[in-house]
Amino acid sequence: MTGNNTGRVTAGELQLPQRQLAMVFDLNKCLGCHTCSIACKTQWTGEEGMENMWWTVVNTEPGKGTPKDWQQMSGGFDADGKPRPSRIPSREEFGEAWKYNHDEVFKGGKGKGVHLKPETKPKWGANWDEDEGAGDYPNSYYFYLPRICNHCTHPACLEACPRGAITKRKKDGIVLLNEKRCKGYRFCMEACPYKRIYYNHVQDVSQKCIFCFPRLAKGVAPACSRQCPGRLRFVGYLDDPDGPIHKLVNKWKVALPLHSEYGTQPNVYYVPPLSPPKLNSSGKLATDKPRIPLDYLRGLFGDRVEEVLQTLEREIAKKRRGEESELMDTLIVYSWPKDIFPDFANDPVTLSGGDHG
Amino acid sequence: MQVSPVAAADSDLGHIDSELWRQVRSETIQLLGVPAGMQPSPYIVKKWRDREVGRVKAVEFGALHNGSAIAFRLAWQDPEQDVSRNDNEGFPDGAAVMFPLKDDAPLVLMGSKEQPVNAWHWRADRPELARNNVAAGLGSSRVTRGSEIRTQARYRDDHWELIFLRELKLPDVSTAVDFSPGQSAKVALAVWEGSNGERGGLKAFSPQWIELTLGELKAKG
Repeated sequence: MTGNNTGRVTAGELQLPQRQLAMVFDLNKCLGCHTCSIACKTQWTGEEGMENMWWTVVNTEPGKGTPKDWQQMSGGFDADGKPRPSRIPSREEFGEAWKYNHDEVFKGGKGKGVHLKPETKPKWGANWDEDEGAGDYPNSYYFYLPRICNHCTHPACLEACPRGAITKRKKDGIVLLNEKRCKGYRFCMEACPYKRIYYNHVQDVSQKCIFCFPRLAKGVAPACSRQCPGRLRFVGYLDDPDGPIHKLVNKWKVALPLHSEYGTQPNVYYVPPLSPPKLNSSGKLATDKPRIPLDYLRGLFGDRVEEVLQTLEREIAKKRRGEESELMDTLIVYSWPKDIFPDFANDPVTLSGGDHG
Repeated sequence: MQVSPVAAADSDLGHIDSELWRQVRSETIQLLGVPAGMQPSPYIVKKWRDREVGRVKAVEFGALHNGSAIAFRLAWQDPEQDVSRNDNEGFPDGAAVMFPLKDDAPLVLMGSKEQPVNAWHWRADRPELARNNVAAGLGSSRVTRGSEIRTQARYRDDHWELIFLRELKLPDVSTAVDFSPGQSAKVALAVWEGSNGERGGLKAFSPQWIELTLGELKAKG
């Protein structure tokens, strides 16, 4: 194990699920197309009060993210395991669901003279700083960072809730929020250091990613993973030695948690992004330095990131030479869907109302 | 405290401008903030350790009944009116009256499994009906149906005025406190100051049960 799943202690007892489902996102494959976000939106967040919710979102790094500047908001636990106070992000920081003048353009007879635009002047949105990144030409850089609820092994949200409305499932470690117990107090939104919980102000409850648990029950992968055109979202059990998650996280150790220093033991892991070498002042390749600064990646994924990038480069080189590489074969996903979410490879078409048997 | 019987319609009893409420003798009930150390999650304890919980310090409290319905009037000072939950970080003002469903229900712990409590919870974002809650300990309150608790509230001159109105008796005594003229009852109060982020256990409350005696209506003639 990576040491990332040490569990949490309540009333003197170590709490760990029997098994833990996890995801690995290979950032070298992410196109920033937002199909994951749309798949989730279409599946789960269409009700009133959910308009601005993006349970899965794709942020550009470096960037302020969603909600704006979430990495500066604290939350989670300190090195001693004590809660770190934080605050509730505002709707503006998450980004409002802008209303557009659809009626005017499509039904008001002004379609030729008026263009479609938000009714209020937007100030921030879920992907406001997309593709901006950092660095100066010709060494500017960015990469995409898809984010969901991390279904943490030590969930700060669960421990913050005074009502026991949040639970971690024994059988697979999915963290769920019971809307019947929730009274909309939003302590979970404060405590979550990843700021992946939203408040539904119409229904007066907090809401978040549910790891598509009703789909899992039918052997179908979460919508974000199934629909991902880049096929970069691996899903499976951490303890399955034949599955891709175990291979990437525990065997090859190339998938790292985001901000492990937040202390919640997240169960979404990232294969960090490789980048082309920097150009020097005379426009020549400076081959010893990657375009994305290592320090920046360390800030997100921890000190092992350099070692991981070296492993990836070494295995890529092997594959180029025609040699075997289990790691590369795993990351390539030759046989989709069974190589990327082996336990959840059923076609979503089997879900629709039992019509398909 | 006497709950005086009055020969008046329910609508008068529950009306904030009713002449009845000018005549009733109200008492000033001092409130205490629930200490941070008593909050049921480590996060809340840590966050609120050095903050003021329970910004409202006192409530003017009065009660009346008419033989079929009972009404409670609460009034308190609040320089900031909070009526909306539209912003993520905004919380509405609120107030509650709480009763033991069994005689010795612990007030500070909001009841126990054996001795639950019944709380009528009003909030400024849904001002016309209070929610009926049953609680069997901190963090355990649940809303039940079948108890209509009408409320009327008004914010004026930095003050909230609020009236709860409910029938004396409801069919399900396991979820709704039962009142009888000539009998006594107990009540406790709580107020949430929205602008201070007060919600859930972050509130001001009356730390002891207030004894109520429901007067008997005089027979006519």
